[in-house]
Amino acid sequence: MRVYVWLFLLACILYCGCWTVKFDGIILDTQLQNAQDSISKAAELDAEQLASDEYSRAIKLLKFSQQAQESGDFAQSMEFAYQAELVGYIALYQAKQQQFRQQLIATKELIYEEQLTQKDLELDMEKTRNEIKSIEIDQALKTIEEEQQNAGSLTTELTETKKTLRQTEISIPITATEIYVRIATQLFRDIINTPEYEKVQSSIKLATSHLEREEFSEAKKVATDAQTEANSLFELAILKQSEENTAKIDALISIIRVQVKAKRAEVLNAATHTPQQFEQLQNQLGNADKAFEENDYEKAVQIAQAAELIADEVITNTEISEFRQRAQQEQAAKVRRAQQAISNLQTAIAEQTETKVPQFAPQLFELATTALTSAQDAFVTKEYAKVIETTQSGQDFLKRAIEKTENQGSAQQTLVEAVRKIPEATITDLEEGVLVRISGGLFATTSTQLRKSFFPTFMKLASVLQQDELKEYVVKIEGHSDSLGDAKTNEALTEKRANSIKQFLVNKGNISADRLTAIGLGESAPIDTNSVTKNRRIDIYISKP
Amino acid sequence: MKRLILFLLIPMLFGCGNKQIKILAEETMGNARTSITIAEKHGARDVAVNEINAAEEMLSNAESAHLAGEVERAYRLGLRAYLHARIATEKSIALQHEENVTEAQALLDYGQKITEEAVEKLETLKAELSNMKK
Repeated sequence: MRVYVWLFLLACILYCGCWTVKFDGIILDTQLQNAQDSISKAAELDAEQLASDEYSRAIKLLKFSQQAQESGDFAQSMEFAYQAELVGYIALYQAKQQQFRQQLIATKELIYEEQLTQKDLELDMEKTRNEIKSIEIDQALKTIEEEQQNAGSLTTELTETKKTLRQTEISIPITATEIYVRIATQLFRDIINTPEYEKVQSSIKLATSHLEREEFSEAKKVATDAQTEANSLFELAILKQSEENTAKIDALISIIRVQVKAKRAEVLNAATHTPQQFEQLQNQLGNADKAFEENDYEKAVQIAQAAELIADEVITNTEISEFRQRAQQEQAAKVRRAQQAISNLQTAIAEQTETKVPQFAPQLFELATTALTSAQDAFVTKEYAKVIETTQSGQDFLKRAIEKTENQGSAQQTLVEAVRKIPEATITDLEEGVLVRISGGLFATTSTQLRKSFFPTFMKLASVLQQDELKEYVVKIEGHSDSLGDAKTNEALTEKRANSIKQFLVNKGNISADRLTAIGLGESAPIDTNSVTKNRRIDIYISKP
Repeated sequence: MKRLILFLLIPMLFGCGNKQIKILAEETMGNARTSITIAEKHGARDVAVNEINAAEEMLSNAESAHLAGEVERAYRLGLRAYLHARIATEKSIALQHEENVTEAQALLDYGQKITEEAVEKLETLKAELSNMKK
């Protein structure tokens, strides 16, 4: 058993040793490969030529490494391989240095060549510039020569120009003088007849003559004098024009004043009232206009002043006539209006005479009639305003009377219709009220107690009096008797019976006692001397208070 | 006898060889330090950081091994440090050259532009001259 254990341990040791050898071989191969790589990279950069020492040293080291590997010296081989790799890199960087050096040299050569080219170009440019300058100088010289040649002709031209300038210088004041004279002429036409105008014209002619003969000094002196004279002429023209304008305005004002007055006279109808004077005024006005148009302003003013006096006279006379005529017309109109007013009132009163108006509104109707009489009296005394006023009040009275009548008529109709429904009653329409007569044994003999059979009659009367339309109406109850018996006794009895009915209306019919009056007339007012029964009665008057 | 001679000679040879390797290791480490300084001067701290760091680490390990008496290992590590420092130096120089090339190229481009402008100006002037001659 022990033998097997020892054999197993031996086998393990052998196996581990083989593996270590194998592992070292891999590391060495890797290192050799690295060395080979670095040498190859160096070779790619032409290190054999450019860094021959280091390159060959790296090759040698690689060979040493391989030899050591072959001889089984692993450590030495590894060391050489490592050194070969590093030296290979040195060779690589040295080769790079050489390449960069060569590039730098080549670039610098190119720079030098470029600089040389630039220098050549600068030389060419300078040469070209010089040529340009040379040509410019030639041209400038040529120009100067031409200018020198032109200078002679310019001198002559300058002399001519100076002469022209001088002429222009003097001709300007002459022209200005002529313009002044022309303006003065336009301002006041008659200035051409003045000696000042003649003097200025002769000065202008003289100055022009000197100028044509190129006598500039004389021409200038005369032109200056002419200008001064023209100024004086201009001021004179302004003065004359001002005077003329003043006269013109005065004349125009005078004519316009007359025209205004003539227009007023025309409006006042002067052609009718004072035809001869108005025609004279028109003629004078025409003469003034004519003188104005002929520029004879003084004459125009004189004529206008004379015409104004006529116009004043015409206006005064016309106003008087017109006033008189208008006053007459106005008076006639007043008379007509008064007559018309009286006539209207008369007609209105006449129309109402046959109606109920005199009955229902006698006072108002009377007042209207009185107003008519007063108006007629006033017309006689020619108080037309009073006529109008009085007739107006008469119309008002009449109108009110008609209205009152219409109102009363309506109430009366209502009253009559209502009382007709009362049983046992005889109705009489009194125009301003109604008489309700009830007879036929209302009371027993000598009794003051109303019989029950007549209760409905008086209840109906009470209901009539309670109607809204008839609440203003008052009731007068008259008791009547026959002529039998003592008169005083009858009177007292009838009074009691009237009061009995009043009390019935108050108590049973709810009529206010204020609206009711009861009196006994006894036998004093019979209605039929042959009938005792008819005289025994109650008369009830229903009317407005 | 032969065995005795071999027995004496081998330690002697070994002792002499060990002394030579120690000197070689020290020299190598010195070279490595110098190379690191040169690499720094060429700006390796900015452009070859990994390489110079590797060199310094290797040198540090070499010095530790040297102090521990592992002379051969110190030599190997010193040599590696030296090679890493060389790589850092060469890489830095290469990058400087590359920058120089880039600058020169920019200068060349600018010069070419100036040249083109000058050519245009010259053509304008020549055209003007031609017109004037007409």
